[in-house]
Amino acid sequence: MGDEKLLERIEDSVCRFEKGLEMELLPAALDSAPAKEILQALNMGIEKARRLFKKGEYALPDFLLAIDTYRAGVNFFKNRVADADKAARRVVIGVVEGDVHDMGKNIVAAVLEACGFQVTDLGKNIPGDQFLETIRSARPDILALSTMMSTTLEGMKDIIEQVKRDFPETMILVGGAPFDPDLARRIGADGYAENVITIPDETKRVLTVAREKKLLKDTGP
Amino acid sequence: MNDIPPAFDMFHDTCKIEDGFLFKDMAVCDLGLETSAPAYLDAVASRIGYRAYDIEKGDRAGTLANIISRGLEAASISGIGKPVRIDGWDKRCVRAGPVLVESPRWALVVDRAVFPHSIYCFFLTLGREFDRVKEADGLFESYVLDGLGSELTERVADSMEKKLRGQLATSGLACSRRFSPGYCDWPLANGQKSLSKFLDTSSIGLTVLSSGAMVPAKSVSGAMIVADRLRILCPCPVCPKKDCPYRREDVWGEYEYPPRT
Repeated sequence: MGDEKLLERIEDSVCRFEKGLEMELLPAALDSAPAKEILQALNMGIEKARRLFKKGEYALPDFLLAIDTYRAGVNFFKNRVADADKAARRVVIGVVEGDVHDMGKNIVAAVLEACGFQVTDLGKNIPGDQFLETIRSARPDILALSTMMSTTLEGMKDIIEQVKRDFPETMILVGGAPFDPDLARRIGADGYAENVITIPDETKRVLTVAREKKLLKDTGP
Repeated sequence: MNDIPPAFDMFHDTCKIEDGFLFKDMAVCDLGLETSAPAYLDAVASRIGYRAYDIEKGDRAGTLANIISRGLEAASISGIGKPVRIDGWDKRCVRAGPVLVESPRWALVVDRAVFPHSIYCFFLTLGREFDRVKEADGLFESYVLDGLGSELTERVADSMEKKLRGQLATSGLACSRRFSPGYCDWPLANGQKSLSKFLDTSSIGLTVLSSGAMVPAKSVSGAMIVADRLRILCPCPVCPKKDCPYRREDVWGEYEYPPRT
């Protein structure tokens, strides 16, 4: 099998969520193609799966299977391509204090990662101070806040106000059951993650706005 | 509450209804629920977004069934429940000891009841091990287990509700459908606070946060109205919100329950 065919197979394996990618195909590919090209094949595979999901040909769990396959592939390369993430836009994500529902947040974090963002996932039930400390040290381009409950919105609003005041260059995305675009705007967020299909485009839109406001350097996705 | 043995309880008809119930770390089979993965397959598949024909493709059904089996094994179900006598009600709320149901719609159910006696309050949980198993695996597996957790929680609550209704009926009493804080018009945080003031949730390893969220996450709380007779089992038949996603269609309308003979 030539390089090109092998790369195509890697792409298909991600898209069709075939098991054992990191055990067989990737080690074999390393002998015949540079890591950068193999990573690109993984990215094309997940992008293909995303398009199928967007068109309704894949159900959400199928897309998640593709993400799991993609992650297994990327993890295989983690120690081999050390600087791969350096140029990526950084996202800090977490479920706000008082809420322990993290399934939606986990999916969004994985989708953003699969779209080339460098994601720091703080977890669930995270106090506001922890978000602020992480922003201070990691200087992310985006803070993504999630909640499935309306009782935690006040706390979320406080975090947003503090981030806007202390870190105006960090853009804020919100998502979860209580939100619609209007509430997201009223709470002070720059963007609203309506669902897993729209999140990559919404994130890019928010970054474009930040660029226009000269808050970001003109690099990255 | 009397000291009810862990192996207890209303699921086995050995205690008095007024004593309440307490059970800890029970397996799915101990509660008389289905123990085989196929019995949950369609419901879980639907919850996670698969259409009926999706699970016929490839080995999806087999993959799902394996994950469901692991989830069923991880569930360690505990519950606590007890009735509290109704002190009074108005158009906005029902007061029963430390429990305050600030729900105009459920106050209407009480208002239309014949001799409403008490509110039967409860907490049920699948336990921390289920949360742990759900978090440890890949995204797909985690998502399937999340769907199973929601389905299983509902089935445990359905089973409890059915048993309670049956036991109350033998005493000539009727009980409403169960209702939970955060649904209909009962505010979440205050409702949870009220219920957890009445029931010792720590006895089943459950923590209620001030926001109303529960740890373990796959838990359910709620209440049921107990009365001599109920003209409506829930507010749905008289509720104008016809497009409510939680609307219950399978309830008695303006008929008395139990029906007069």
